Amino acid sequence: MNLENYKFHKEHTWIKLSGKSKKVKVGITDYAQESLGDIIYIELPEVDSHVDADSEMAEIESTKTSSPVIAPVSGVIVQVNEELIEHPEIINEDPYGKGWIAVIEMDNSHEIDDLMDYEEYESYLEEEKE
Amino acid sequence: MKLTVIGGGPAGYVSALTARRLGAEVLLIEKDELGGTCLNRGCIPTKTVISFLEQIDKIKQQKYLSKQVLDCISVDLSILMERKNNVVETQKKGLAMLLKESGVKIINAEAELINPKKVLIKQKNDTIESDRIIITTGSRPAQIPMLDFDGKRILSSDDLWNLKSIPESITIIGAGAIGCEFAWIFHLLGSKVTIIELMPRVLPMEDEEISKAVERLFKKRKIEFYTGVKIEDLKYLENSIELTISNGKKVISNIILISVGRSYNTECIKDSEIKLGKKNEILVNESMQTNIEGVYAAGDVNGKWLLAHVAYAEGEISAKNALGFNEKMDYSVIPSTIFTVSEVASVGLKENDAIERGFKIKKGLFPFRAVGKAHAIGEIDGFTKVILDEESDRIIGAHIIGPKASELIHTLCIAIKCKIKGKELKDLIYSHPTLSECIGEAVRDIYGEAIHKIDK
Repeated sequence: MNLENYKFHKEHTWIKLSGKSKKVKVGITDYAQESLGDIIYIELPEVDSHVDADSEMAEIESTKTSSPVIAPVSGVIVQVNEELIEHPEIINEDPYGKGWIAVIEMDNSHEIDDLMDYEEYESYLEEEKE
Repeated sequence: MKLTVIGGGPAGYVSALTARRLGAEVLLIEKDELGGTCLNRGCIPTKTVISFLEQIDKIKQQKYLSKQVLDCISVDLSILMERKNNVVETQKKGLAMLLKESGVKIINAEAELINPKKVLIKQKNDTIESDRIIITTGSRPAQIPMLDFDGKRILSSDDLWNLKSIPESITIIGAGAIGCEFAWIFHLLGSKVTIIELMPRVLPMEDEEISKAVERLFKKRKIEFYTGVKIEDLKYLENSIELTISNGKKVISNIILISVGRSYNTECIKDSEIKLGKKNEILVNESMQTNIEGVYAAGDVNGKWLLAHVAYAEGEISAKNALGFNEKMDYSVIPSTIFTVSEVASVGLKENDAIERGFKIKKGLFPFRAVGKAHAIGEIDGFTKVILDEESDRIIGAHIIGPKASELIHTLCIAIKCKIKGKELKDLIYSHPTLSECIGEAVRDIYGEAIHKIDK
């Protein structure tokens, strides 16, 4: 999978950039879905609500645990992935693709600079494991 | 000593039995059926129906069964009602037998208090002299303006038992215990359920985290709910009713259940000098005595707790006091249980109340999804929450949502009642694999020592 346009937050969430648009897709990483196990429910954010970077934007329940989804950037939720209401397991199957959670319209594109690219995220995961 | 009890529900029959045990001559007057709301229209019939429907639901939720099997399963309302009636009748026969064998005399008629020593038996136009009187006439569903019960489309929880078919849709006004239990029943029957609540959350009398968890389970089950809203308009359509609520939404459904509280049955004392409160409840002191000497009131009608097990306790206390004892009701450790999308049980203080009262609290919380037995039985939603007063190291509140919560809560009732130290309770060994382990872990969590929880 090509993750060139993806930027990663240390709480295991990602944004997908498309050109210069301020609207970015948000989801959780493969590592996150793997750690959570079978996902059975997601409490999606409200469309038009505002989320702050580093704070909870959604909550995922798996058979093992329930865990907050941390917003990688600040902005307004402009769309949510309604497919997940009926089929939250899509997040397990395709965390970087069909398992996206929401689209955020960013307040400030500079926040992207605080995020990691995929290589950095991978080495961050290695460090975490140690 | 002659004692007359008016009303044969939980408070009434327990006071009658208690008084008999203490040697009094007891007359119990009941205008309708023995067992009151609890046995005929409340606790027992709802739990019978919920148990039946949950067993079917559990099979339907099994992803390991073939589609052909699942497609064959459906609920027949008449069979379900037959089952319910059988349970109620068996219980009622048992109760009648118990009262008879104990020597309680029963009259099936309406009664009216003429003076503190005299009761009129209406249908027989007869009066009865009595040394002491206990009023246990209970309560009935409360009405709200604009939405009068019509027995057809705008229904009380009593009317629901007369339904001949399962409605396609139902709107439930009031998300208290009764509303949330019927929401669950109708969801399991296959109706589209919408709940409307004036307060900002469902089960507003419970701990906030419990309400939040119930709301999430409603969402998972596609039971719709609107909180913090009022009804603004009502329109009759051909086969349904359209409600306009204050958030601008319109809700259309075949029938409406009004479950916004209870009114007190005080008709039998209407011409007496017994003092009533603002909500028409009979005012009593801690001994269950009214302002008139020798006249007591127990159970729902005194407006205190409106729970059958409180009615039992009040019935016992009132009978003892009527016969010369001096006992007081202790309301400090009373469990309450609700059987909705999950079982909910609580005892003692809610988190917010504990903080408001100035306790320095620590809380422990443990999810059922980290308990092996919960996975084994396929019911992993929910948690146990315990609230500890740091200064005394005693549990002051407990709130459980999840499988068998209504049974589990009693361990914590004992802990609170017997003032067991949190540290002692933490060292209790729980059998494995059981759901009770969730209590053990929640108590351990207070001290940061839950075994099956990752420290962050």
